[in-house]
Amino acid sequence: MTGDVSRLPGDGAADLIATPAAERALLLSVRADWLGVPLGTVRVVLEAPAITRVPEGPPTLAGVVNVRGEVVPVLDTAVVLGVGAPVRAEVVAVIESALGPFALAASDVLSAALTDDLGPSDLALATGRRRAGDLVATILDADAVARSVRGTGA
Amino acid sequence: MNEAELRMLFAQEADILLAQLSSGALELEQGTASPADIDRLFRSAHTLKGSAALVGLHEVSTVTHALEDLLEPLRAGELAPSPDIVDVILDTVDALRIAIPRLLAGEPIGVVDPQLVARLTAAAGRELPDAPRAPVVPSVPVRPPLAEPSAPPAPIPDPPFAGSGPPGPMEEPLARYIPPPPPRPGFVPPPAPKAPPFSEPPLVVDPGSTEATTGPAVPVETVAVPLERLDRLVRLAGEARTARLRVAGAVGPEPAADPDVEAAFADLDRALETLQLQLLQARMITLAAVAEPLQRAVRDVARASGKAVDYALEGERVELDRGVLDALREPLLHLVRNAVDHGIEPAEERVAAGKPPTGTVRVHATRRGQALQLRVTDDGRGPDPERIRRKLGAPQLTDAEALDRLFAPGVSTAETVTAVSGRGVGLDVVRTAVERVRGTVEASGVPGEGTTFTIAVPVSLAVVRCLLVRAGGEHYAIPGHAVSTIVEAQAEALVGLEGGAAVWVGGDIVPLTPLARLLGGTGTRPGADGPAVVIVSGTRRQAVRVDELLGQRDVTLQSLGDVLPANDLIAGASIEADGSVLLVLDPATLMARATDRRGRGGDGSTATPAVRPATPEPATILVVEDALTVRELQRSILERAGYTVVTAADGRLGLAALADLRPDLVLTDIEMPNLDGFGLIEAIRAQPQLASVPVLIMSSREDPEDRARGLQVGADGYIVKQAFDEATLLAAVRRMLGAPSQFETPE
Repeated sequence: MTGDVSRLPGDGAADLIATPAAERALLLSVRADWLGVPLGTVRVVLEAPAITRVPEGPPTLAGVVNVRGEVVPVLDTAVVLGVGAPVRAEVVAVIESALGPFALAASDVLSAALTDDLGPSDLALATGRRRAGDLVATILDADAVARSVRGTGA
Repeated sequence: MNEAELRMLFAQEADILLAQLSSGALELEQGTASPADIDRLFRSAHTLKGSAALVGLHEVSTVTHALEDLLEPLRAGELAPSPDIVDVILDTVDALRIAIPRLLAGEPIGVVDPQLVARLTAAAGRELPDAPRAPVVPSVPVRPPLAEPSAPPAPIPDPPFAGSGPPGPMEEPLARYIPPPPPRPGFVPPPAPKAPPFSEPPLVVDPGSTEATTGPAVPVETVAVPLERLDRLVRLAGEARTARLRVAGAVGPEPAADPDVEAAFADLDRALETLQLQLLQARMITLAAVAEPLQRAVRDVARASGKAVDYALEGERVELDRGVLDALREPLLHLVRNAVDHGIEPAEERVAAGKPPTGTVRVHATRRGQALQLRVTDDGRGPDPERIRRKLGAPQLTDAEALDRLFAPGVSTAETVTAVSGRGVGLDVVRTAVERVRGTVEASGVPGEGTTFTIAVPVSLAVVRCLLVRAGGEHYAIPGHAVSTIVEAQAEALVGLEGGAAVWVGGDIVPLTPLARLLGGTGTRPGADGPAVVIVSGTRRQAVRVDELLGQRDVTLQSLGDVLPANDLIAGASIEADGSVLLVLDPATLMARATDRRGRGGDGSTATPAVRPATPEPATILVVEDALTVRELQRSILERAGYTVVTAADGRLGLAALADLRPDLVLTDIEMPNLDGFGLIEAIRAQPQLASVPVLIMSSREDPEDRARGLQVGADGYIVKQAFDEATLLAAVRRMLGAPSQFETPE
């Protein structure tokens, strides 16, 4: 990969390293897609977390995890966005939203600088498409994702 | 401190000052007010006046200035207390309790009755002014004195710790639309205990006390702390203990060779445990916080109904979690109002029955370990199980079952509907509110002798004594207060019952269901042996079979957050010592699920489908209401409950919204500009595609003619706005969504 894209260091729970780029995002690998969330909304990334299943939870819910003493719901990103079957949560990214924190499950994560605006996205919970190095990232609206899970509309 | 924080602080301060004014007025009425008490009454009014001016609520300042003018001659001994003076003080308190939240929400001035100033002036014996008073603006800003004598400290920023955002705003109080009935004589005041100046702090941080059963007996300096911040501190303390375990694990299983390290670990353990306990203790508040509202409620209803009532609250110093007390406030108010309105007979009837003319209402609180029991008792008519059986057309019910039906929606045996009760929409709301904090409520009594409502709740929502179990390969916790007993459910000892299985428990037959099945798993195979936990809710019992019992301990509870929709099955979650998440189950929901499964054709012999049923889409509600605060309040309540809400500011806009929207329910006011509620409902019913949409009216108009007209034009339900609160609205919405064609009629 070229451009300002970096893999996150370390094993286990990894805090993001602030980089001085003008607009950076955390990219989540979900099936064949790269989904981006503004880096400023990301609290922490956890690798291979222990996820507890919640009985009678919504189909979008993979379970809950412990994030430094707080119980945080883990959403199956593919199901939330309607882009395919559930993914195995190799990593989860904990995102802050207007309704509180939630985590998105992904196969892998990268930190990247967003460059060219590639126009609107077809996904209802995304704000658009951006270039990130060689990758095309669909940028998610964290608040809209939270509202859709809650059931109060995007 | 920004303006929003200042206004929230004023809202909290106003609550306290208005409670002090109300308590002081009641002391004046009882003749027990000393000069110091009257002086305190005056200062409460004076402080409220200044603080209101500081936040720009000049209408409140004007009213409290007139109140000051009344209290000044009282304080100086130039004016004697009288029933008129007490009445106008209490009416002022009630008016400000309604007005202040609406003013803070930005409603335009004019919410306070302009006649109130005239009444206050007349009560002071002064001439009425020729012109309306100008708003009083102090020349020197008055600090809200929540932390005397120094200025409130600046908010302490959260530590630079990943996971902690900036402190959130304090909770905004909900407006309550409960005006008092007109005062009439008849209230026999009990000997009232003196309330210390800070008898009702919002939250008391008392670092020196570890006493769990009594509150502070002397005024203490208080600091207002958002509950959310305390909860975060409790979680951080728990995480610190988890981290300590990880360090201990890294050190190794053998005790450290260095005695200093071992001693340091021991000190760390003690400090963290004490920290966690102290933080949990900081959430506790005494029952004294509801003493004044309960006393006022009894007084007001007694006067309105012309009855003499002797009332007392026993156990005022019992401590409980602030969240639990907040949830119990409205149920307790309803129960005491009910006791006076429907329980206590008029004096003539009591004398004819050989009773003293003055009725007795008691609220008694006792704490037993982690459980709190509240009993609301009256010596009135008592419950009539036979009357309930007749009303329900259910002659087969036992007395206990009949009394339990009092808590079902729409059930009331009241002969008449009063402004207070009788519509059959109260006790079901009481039970819903109590169960929301994992409590139970039961009715008992003897016909002719009196009624007792018994509420049992956990002392703390934050810490729950739980039974830990394994079921379907997962660990769960069941709150201990709902566990009746544990039995061994041997396969050969089970009996068939209504399509399912049951087990004998102490001579009673109790239905049995595998816990894992209730949680959507495949569960224990039918016929397997294993322990069964008997859970109890009201008079019902249900046994749930588990794979293994894992012991019992205190569990520090937290919610699953606001992103997820409500999940009735899960009461909360806890972080285990190993960092995993333990889910705490809701016993009432388990009970309901088990009953529901039996009703749908059995359990225990039919495998649960491997695929979970799809979660239904949230219902969409169109709210049509011209008052901004009411409309936004309704929106907030309904959205928090998981509904999708669309709003319209009058009937015409509501009709326009329906051109593009087919909601699951329409909630409408009556009095609105452009097109009123009746016109809107007629227009809805005239459209074939909307004819079956349920419509719920919520209006301040409570005349029977309005209700009848609502029925005539096609409404399905009617809530009187003055009796509205969150629980009432949500219960009515749920009923509407479950039974769209039934109009609620008063019993």
